Amino acid sequence: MNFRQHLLIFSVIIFCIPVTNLSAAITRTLSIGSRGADVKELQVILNKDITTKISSTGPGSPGNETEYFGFLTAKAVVVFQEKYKKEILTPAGLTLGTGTVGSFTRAKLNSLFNVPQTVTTNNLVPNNTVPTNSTPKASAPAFTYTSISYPILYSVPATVKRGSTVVIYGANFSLKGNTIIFGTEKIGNISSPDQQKIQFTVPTTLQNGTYNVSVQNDIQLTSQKSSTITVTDIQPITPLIFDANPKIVSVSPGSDLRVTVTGSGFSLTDNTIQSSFGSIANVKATSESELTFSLEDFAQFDQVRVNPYAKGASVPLIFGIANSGGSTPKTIQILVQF
Amino acid sequence: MKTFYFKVLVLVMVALSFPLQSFAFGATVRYGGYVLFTIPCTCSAGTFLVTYAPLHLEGIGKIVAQMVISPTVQRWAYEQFVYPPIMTTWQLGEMTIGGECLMTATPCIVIPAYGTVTKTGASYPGFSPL
Repeated sequence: MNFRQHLLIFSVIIFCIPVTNLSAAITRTLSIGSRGADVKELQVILNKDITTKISSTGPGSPGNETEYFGFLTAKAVVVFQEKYKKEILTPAGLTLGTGTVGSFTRAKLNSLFNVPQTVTTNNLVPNNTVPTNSTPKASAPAFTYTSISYPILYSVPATVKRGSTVVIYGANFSLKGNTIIFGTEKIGNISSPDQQKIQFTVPTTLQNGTYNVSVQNDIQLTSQKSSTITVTDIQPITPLIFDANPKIVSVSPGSDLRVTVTGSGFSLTDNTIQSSFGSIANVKATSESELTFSLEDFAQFDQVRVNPYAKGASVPLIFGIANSGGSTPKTIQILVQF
Repeated sequence: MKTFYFKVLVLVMVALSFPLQSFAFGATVRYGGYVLFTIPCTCSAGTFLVTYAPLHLEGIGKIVAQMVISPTVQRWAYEQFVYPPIMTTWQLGEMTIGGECLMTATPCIVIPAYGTVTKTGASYPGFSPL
């Protein structure tokens, strides 16, 4: 074997050695349940700042980072997002941290901690206030959990029957140890496996009436905006949709844009249409089994109908109905022919 | 023997040359579309349902459909940042089949969506390619 052959073999070996980064960039969206080396990388980064430390001891603590994105990691991400609100939350139109590591959060993490950049969109990369070889910024003043992670209530039933099982939908609930505050009564130790809904039984000791309801999580934070629930002896009737007509609504000058819905459990005074076109509130039913709404009642409809790109398009209108009895478990679809 | 192996090799190469397209849930499809209108999914904060007309999907064709988009959507490099997508913009990106827009009610009303946008970029509002 001559020198050239040796050189060739040596070159091949050199090219075969993988080039690795000691610090890998986080390139995908991470959220509760995610697993992988990038999760561990995220935890290492968060642990570099005392205010975003995952945990002081045990799994997730400095030196004990894991490849699992759990509740503690999500909490630390929320703190990080709140800390760099202007660069992460404000551009996304958010005010509270979400706990999900999306593009803005990734860009900030990678830029702050000198991880190789992979997010190249100009808008996402903060300006070069941090030299590429700088050490992480000094920690901000001590963080307290009281400014974040308040439970938020998105959906609370208007009317419930004593003793019935009720679900409240929202965000920032704790996995365990939530408390429902029902007027002056408290229902404690409620779990929320997905941290987005809480199921509980309405106490039979409650009198008929309307109560302010709020949720407190396991770090003693209570939803700041309470909702009201009316407790009765009568089981609310869940609205159901059987049919909607016409199946195709033709949008042309002078055409009838009304849709008639047949079903059951409609409120004579107050129904809400929730649809792929938006919402229409305060829809009155002609009877408990029939109501009518008009496409013109959707806020954007007039703007859409004059758009030349709408002309000829058959757009699906998928809708359900909500009222004090609850919401339709199934939606129905018709077509709007522009 | 050599001819046999050659034939097998040719067959394998021909087979591999056919594009493997699957539009099952979870498959990524490239899209381009015109934002006819957008509504907020009020029971899942920050998420929007976008109606595209037309919507061009690679390997599927031209349709009209609604897709869900969330603030964590990946953006193309050097494209405009427009979130939520505003009416009269054109978008280019990637989507996966299937999605849900939750609207406020008790329980939340689930509006099924044709897809979920996973990557996007947008034109300036009102831009017309025609």
